[in-house]
Amino acid sequence: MDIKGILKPLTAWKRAFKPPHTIEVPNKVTREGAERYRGFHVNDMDKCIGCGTCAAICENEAIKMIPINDPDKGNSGYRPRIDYGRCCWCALCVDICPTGSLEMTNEYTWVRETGDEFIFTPGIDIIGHEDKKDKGFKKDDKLNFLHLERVPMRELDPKERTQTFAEAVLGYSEEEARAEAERCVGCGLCISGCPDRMHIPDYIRAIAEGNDQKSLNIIYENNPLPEMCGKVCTRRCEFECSLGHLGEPVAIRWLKRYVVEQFDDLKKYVDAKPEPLNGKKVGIIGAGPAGLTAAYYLRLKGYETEIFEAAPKAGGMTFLGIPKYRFPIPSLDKQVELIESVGVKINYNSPVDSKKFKKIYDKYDAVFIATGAPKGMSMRIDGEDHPKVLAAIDFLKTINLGGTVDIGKEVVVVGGGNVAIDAVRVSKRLGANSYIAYRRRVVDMPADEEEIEATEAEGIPIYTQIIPLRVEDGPKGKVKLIYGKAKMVQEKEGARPRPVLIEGKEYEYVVDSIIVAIGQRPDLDFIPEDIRNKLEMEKRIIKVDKRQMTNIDKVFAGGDLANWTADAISAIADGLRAVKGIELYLSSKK
Amino acid sequence: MKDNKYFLDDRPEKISYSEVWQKFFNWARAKSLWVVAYGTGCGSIEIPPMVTSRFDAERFGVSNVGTPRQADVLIISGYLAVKTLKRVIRVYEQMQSPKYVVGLGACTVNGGMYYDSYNTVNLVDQYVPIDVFVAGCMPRPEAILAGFAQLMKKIKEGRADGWKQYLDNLDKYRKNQEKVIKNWKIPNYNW
Amino acid sequence: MEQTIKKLENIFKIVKKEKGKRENLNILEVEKDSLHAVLSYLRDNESFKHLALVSCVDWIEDNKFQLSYILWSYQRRVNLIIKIFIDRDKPEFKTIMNLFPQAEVYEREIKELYGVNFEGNPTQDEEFVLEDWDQIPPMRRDFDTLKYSNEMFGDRDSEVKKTNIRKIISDYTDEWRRK
Repeated sequence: MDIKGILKPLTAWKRAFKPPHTIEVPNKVTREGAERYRGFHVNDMDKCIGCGTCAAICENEAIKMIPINDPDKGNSGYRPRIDYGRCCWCALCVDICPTGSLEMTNEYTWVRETGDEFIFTPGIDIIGHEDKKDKGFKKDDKLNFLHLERVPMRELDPKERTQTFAEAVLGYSEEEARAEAERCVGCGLCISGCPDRMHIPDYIRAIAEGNDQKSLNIIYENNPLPEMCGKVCTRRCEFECSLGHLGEPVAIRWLKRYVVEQFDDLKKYVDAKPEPLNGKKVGIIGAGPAGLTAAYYLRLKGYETEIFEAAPKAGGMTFLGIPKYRFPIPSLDKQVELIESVGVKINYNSPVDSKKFKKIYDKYDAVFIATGAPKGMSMRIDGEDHPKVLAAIDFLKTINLGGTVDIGKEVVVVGGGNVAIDAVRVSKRLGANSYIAYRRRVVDMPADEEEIEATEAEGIPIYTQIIPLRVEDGPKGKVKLIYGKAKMVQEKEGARPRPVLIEGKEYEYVVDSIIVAIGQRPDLDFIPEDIRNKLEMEKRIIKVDKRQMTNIDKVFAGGDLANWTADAISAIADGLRAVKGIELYLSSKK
Repeated sequence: MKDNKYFLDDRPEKISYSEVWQKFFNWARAKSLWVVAYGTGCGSIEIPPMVTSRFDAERFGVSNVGTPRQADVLIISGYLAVKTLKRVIRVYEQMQSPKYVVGLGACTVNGGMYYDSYNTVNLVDQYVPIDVFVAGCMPRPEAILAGFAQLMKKIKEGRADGWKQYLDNLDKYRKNQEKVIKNWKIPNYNW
Repeated sequence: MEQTIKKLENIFKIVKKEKGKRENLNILEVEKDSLHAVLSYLRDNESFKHLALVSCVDWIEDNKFQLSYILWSYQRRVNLIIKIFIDRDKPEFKTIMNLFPQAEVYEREIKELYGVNFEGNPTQDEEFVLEDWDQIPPMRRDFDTLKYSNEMFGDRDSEVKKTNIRKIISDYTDEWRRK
């Protein structure tokens, strides 16, 4: 007889005096999910930009984007909607979210009686777990899907570059460009920032894939001056980049520059086949970005285009205004060569006056005016007509055309835009001790952030909150700029603070020359008076409709003389719009 | 198939009771839910902890039984392949009324991560009526218990009538079932 | 392992040698006619007694099926994958049941999922996973499984289509130019 076998089961009685093993959920105990438990989603609607990256990464197609608000710059107005009949709580969407708005709670119980109730939009449908947000899964800094740091751009040493007009920014190598291109998540929000709506994600994708030529051709679909844009664009796209919310935006501008720099002879690689001429002629005044763009794409569509340019080179302000250390001449020539190779005729050194305008107006089926804003604005203070006071634009023009300007040893540049920065950096390179005087603070400067940084790196001081009062003769042939200090006044909530003069105290700069860079305006003197009087204006620029058409028959306008943004990329956009406008106009006329 | 003596082609009769009796029955039924031990997908791994001592579902009268005949509840614990669906329908139809179905996990709602599979059905409630869905991939035992709490509430309130709907709309369900299960070889109703 | 491969090379024609992702894994590609000889040599002379798996890969671009025979040696604790390529238009091969009887099930599975016919396998036409399948074999890459799933099994959320945010943004911001 097995006595052990009989007694052994009785040992189970020792459990009778122990506390029960059972966890009495849900009656007595509610078990909360662990820290960083991957429970249900929450979405911060204000932070979310609707980039769709979560929907793109979701392997189960559980996330679909649905329209909630109107789209805006850098915000698609769409928001993710999650189907818990698909989700597997892998949290890839949380890991990839570029703004960090999508997060998870540690709540895990979701019971419904029908299957249709499992589709919800976090942030809009309130389901009662939102307050547990702090405990759930969040993006981990150690394991981040997004590469938040930009591949650094190599530059000349600041000390070295103030001595020379050689290009300051050196450009990406192939390896660096591929690494940078791979950071892009391809959401396309950058397109909302670009006035020209370039196909940014597509060409970045092509770079990441290693196909530079494809990338070049995508860029050339709507930008005939990519190397210029790659070097000096105001890069509005980068400010809308979804990666910019948590880290640094993708260096879209440098990538474009990289692509174009890979090809010496663009004619061989750009797939530009002009259609046969259709007999219609378009005259274009001004070979700036707007004029060149319109001419190039109109010619591709079969229109005969002819450009009249006063300067000995095409490029407009990008040639005359932008210093050569930012945009060297060979880069410009390369692009203009391609534009000329498709059949665009450019007449150099042929300024247009009112007589010639009449001729052009009669000869061509349509006229596109893109003469830009070549005249510097005045400060409207006493003594401004002093010979030592220069307009920045004239100063840069002379230098870029190879002339010399006697600016002396000490120069003050008045203004805070990109032109002011260019002028001060050029005068530093000419050997002067130069500095900037601006009426607001550094943060208010309209100039590009990177340009301001470069300026500071070159040892150029920026004096702020300075309001010029008058110009006087100084001792020993010098000139005096009398100025007062300003205080910043916040007049309205959310508006840009306004500088207000502090009365009573006056200071002065005694310098060899004063360079004024406080804006430019268009010069329309070449248009015959009868037309000019009829031309509808909007303050100091020409009023155009969305097809760049003015109120005068056959006349289109674009570029700085017809838009307030006044940068190269919006001029290119104007040119492209004019292409479509002229095409529509000419085909409807017949 | 009339010659097959194991199956009955007639549909079950519906018996109605007075409201008082009905309420009593509902109360009693909610207190004793026996689950047929039939796992269909990855979720069946969550059921052992639920019914054993850790979470001890028997506190609520939920316990496992071995055959469909004795069971009240069928848990569809995850994805259903077409092949499994056939068996699920047979198990479901063999269970005695009143009977309830609990769908666990994303797969039963809309296909889950197998949404594009050639062999797993996406919408289980097209083929058998489901009373309670529990989201998760897979839901934890606590969530399944919450699902049972909801099912009991539903039974007590007299709303858990999926089995009645199945009989009323049997033709519709059959049509859906026959769409995915080709060569339907089982009789019209095998209870 | 190198010695074994060297010995094999002396006897058979090895088309391609690859190193696996882990230390004890080697991949050899052989001609399809010599597969049986290679397998029986490895089984009898080189202690690869265990056939772990037979699998198939659809190389639709090359119009080929790849059959992989994964062997395991208990003594040496190494894996060896022997792979062959067969024509995709004529997916036929001889069974290896005479060498490894357990290949019967693997071949049956491949027959069902890829439609490769294994001559000499008596049970290969029986249903394995799928019952009453009437489409092309589902693991072939030209079978659109998402489309089939949506038609056959439905989608609870089919009204809302997948949206391309990039397109929405360019459409919205493009006032009229490119339309």
